[in-house]
Amino acid sequence: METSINFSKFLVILPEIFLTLWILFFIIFGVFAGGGNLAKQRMFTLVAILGLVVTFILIFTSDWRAARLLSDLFVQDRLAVFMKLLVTFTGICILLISEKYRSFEKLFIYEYPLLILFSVLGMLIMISSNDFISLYMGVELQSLSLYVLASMKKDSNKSSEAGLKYFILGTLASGFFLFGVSMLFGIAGTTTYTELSVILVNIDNYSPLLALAVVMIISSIAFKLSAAPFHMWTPDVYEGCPTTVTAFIAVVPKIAAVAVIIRILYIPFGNIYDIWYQILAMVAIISIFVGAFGAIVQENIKRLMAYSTIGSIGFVLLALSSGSQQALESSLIYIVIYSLSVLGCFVIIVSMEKDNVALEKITDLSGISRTDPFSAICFSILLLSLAGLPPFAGFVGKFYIFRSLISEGFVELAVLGIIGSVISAYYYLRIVKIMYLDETEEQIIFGYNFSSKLILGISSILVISFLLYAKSVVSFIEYISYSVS
Amino acid sequence: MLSMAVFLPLIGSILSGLFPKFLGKKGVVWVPSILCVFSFIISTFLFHDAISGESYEFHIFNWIQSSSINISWSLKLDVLSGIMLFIVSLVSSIIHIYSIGYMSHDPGQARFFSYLSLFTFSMLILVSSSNFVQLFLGWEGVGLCSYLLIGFWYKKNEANNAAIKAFIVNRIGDLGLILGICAIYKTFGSLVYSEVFFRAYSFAPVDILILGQPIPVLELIGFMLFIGAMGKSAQLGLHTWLADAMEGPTPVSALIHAATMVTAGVFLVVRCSPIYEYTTYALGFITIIGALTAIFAASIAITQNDIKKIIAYSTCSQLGYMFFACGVSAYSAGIFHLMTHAFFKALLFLGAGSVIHALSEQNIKNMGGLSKHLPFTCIAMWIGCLALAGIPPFAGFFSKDIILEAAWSSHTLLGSISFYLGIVTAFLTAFYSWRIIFLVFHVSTKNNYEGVRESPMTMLVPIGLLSFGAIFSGWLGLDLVDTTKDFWVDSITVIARHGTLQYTHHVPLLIKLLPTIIAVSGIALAWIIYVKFPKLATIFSIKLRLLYVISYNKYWFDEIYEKYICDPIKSLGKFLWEKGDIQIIDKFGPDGISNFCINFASRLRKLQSGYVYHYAFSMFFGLIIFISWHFLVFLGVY
Repeated sequence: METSINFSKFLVILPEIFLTLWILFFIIFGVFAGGGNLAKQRMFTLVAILGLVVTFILIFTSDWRAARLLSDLFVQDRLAVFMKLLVTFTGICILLISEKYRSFEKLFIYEYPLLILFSVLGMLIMISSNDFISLYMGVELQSLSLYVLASMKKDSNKSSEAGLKYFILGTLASGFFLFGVSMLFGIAGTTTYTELSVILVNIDNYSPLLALAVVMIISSIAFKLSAAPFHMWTPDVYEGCPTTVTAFIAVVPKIAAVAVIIRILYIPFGNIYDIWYQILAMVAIISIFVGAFGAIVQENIKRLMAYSTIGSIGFVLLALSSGSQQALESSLIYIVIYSLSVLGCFVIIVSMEKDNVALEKITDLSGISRTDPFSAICFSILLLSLAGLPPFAGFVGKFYIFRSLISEGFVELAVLGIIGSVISAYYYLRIVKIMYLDETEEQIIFGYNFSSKLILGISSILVISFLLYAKSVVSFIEYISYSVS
Repeated sequence: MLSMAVFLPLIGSILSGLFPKFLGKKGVVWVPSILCVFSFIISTFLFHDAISGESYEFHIFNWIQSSSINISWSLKLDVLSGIMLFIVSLVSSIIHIYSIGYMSHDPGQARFFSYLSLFTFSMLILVSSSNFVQLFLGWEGVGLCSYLLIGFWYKKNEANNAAIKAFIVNRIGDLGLILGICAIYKTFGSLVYSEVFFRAYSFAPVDILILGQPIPVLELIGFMLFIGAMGKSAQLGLHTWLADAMEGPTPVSALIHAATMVTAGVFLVVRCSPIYEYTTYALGFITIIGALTAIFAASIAITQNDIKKIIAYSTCSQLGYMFFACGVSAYSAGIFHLMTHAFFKALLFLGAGSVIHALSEQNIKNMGGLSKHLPFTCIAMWIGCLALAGIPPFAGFFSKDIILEAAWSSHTLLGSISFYLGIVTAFLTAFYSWRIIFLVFHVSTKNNYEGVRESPMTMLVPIGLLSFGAIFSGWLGLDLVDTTKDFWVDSITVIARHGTLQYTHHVPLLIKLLPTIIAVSGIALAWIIYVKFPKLATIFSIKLRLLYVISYNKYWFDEIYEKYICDPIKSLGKFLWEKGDIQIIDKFGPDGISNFCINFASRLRKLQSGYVYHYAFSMFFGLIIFISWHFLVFLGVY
């Protein structure tokens, strides 16, 4: 325990401090400015984006070397920096693309960007926490903001229902988490990751209590990741939320949660691999198959994306279940590609409208290849990437996962993953088919603004040309991942 | 030079096939034709080089390199490939030019010329290759192009069926060729001509075990290669596609039957003479199949009524001559006949094409007295038929004569049989040739031919050129079979005890004159039956009912194949399709799996009830399962 405070070390936590101050400023600013019209709304969004951009720059310029501070509650390393950058970046993107949607859904309240900032702050804390208690703080901050965001559309029953469901089940998951952590404290006498990693070593006759604690903690994180069988909230919440919030939930918290589960699995539980790998593999396989089968019968594109998320998270967990360094890298590559593709997809889903009414049926997309070829081609590329077809990015992601599994000897898992991937290809291709082959009845419009068009175009290009720069991405991820374990 | 001669037609094919808009309406016909003519001019020089003793291999680039297989794209020039290049490019050029007139009203001209040039290219690759793989490529290219060209009028059902038939029957032969090539590779460890042929004699006593039976390896190779040749050259058994191939446009028939495609088989046998020379049974088999085909096809030709079909069966019969020439080791006589045949058969086809072009009619029973309306065509057909029947001094006389003499002087049982069959065939040949001439041009009918006029110049000029060939090529080409001159250098191998050609000088005069006498008598018989006493034809067909019906129905080959080969295969296919594919593979495979997925998905959907306590239950359920799993592990149950 450090007794004296070293200020230079505190620079590492500067982004979080800055964001907190910015949020406080934002609250006061919002209250004074009030807000009910579009122009003010624009201003609020701009202020929020500005805060995130500055945070992004602060994170980027901070010291990337490993450091621990605040009585080991807070950790800084390359993984943390990278995941934080990803979170803030995708957060900015979501804010940019939500502009138009909010204007025709009349979501003119300054709490919207504010809550997103809160949520991002919670995620930054999650990613950098080195202690189950600080992790819990981050998770709760993030989740509470999301509960409110989910029920933001006050005139919609579905939105309120989604918020409530998310809240109740989220609380249940938090209960699991706290129960697990308390048992862990009972066994080890500490909740700090680094200390736990020394205390918890692989033993042949492990205590059943430890297994209970591990299962509980993993289950609660699996809930945040929307992995099966803790996924049940996902389709309902995705459908009920305002679409921009769905986009946010689908991308940003997933990145943070992946960072958290990587850290937990590799540091405090790094030496008790035998306890968790089977659980994780089971969760992963169930998720992949639930994701694949669940999406087949969906008619709502947001519900479909929910199952897509479940399946993709299944692949990340599948990679992690082999517990190797390569597994860590492949799961990081996969989550990067996933967030890129899903971000692009949501640009389109958020922009689907007709006469200023948001549309979310899959059949609404029929025949858009003729009316809007740009959207059709971009969406096809992104979906094919999610389906894992070569030469798109998703293929590379899945390829690295299967390679890491096979090199560790988990051939059965790889085969199951491939089967799931094949089944899931069906519903992605179905959308492509609907866009290109089905006849259009009603004209659907894509209400893009400049930034959303830009994000869509860039993500499509990045996805399609991934193989060209895959090598540099992989070596960068390698560089990132050596900071853990 | 050599590669230019070979690749110019390919360029023509690509240009008119892929860029018809760029070339324009005239360009698509003239560009490939002119390129083909250039190819012919170069080939002529190459031929000249070859017979002055030059021979080389031109290496273009490596093709397949995989451990011990090392195959490159290379072109070989020696006398044999030189003469083939010359004949193929000459006849192709003439047919290209003829097609300009013949196909002038067809909307698919660009496609037609593209196929035609591709056909020529494939044939040139075939004859100029220096290894068996490249030969096979040309071989298949020719097969493909014949399919495309026979089915050129793809809206006609018969044309499509004929094209498919040609392709499938050829595939059967190709299987033999592939096996032969494989056997060569297994035996020699190489597929390059020079290496294989150089070492062929040392493998003469070597046996290969097939199903435990020792079989001389060269015999096996010889048989396999000849099966390939039988398919391509329409020999007895695999000949059924040839007559149906008449569904294509007439220039195609001329090209297939005169210089390309069907002669590939003869070329293959001649090219492989260093292998065949050390076989006994394979050569005997070639002799007997050749002789039987000759008489068999000629006997069919005498009763057919379709002008093109008669000429088609005539081709089949003449190919039989070429093969039994090869069978008695008179390879050069075979090539000689191939050359003269190329001229007069192309002439006959183009003449027939001219008649068809003028009348839009193919049945000779409906023609007659056309000599007044089509004088030029009539003369050309006379020349062609004289050459075909082997009347001196026309081309066919020299080549057919030398073949028959060689067969006679081989002094083997098979040689003698084939000699007598050949004589009978010569008689039948003369008969059916003049049957055409009399029925089409001379016997007058009530038909009114007022509007009938000669074909355009682009068609008549090629016919005229070919007429010269049909008259003089035999006389000019006598060097080919002159054993005192070393014409072939070393492109054909004949071992000493097989030197049948050398003995032809000692043939009695009667034997020398017999073919001519026989041919003249055949003409006389045709004159008696069709001109002098026209009723005789009907009387004969009634009196000799059995023979007539057999011949008219082509020995029921098609029907027998249909019943005993096609139908069982079809019903087997139907069985495998309905029972095997639909009811087993599809039912449990794709359909079954997709149905399962949909069922499973809709059940899974029911779990998603929307009630929050169901969701909470699912979470608890998962938790309990995982915890129980661990406790089971802990208790050592699992």
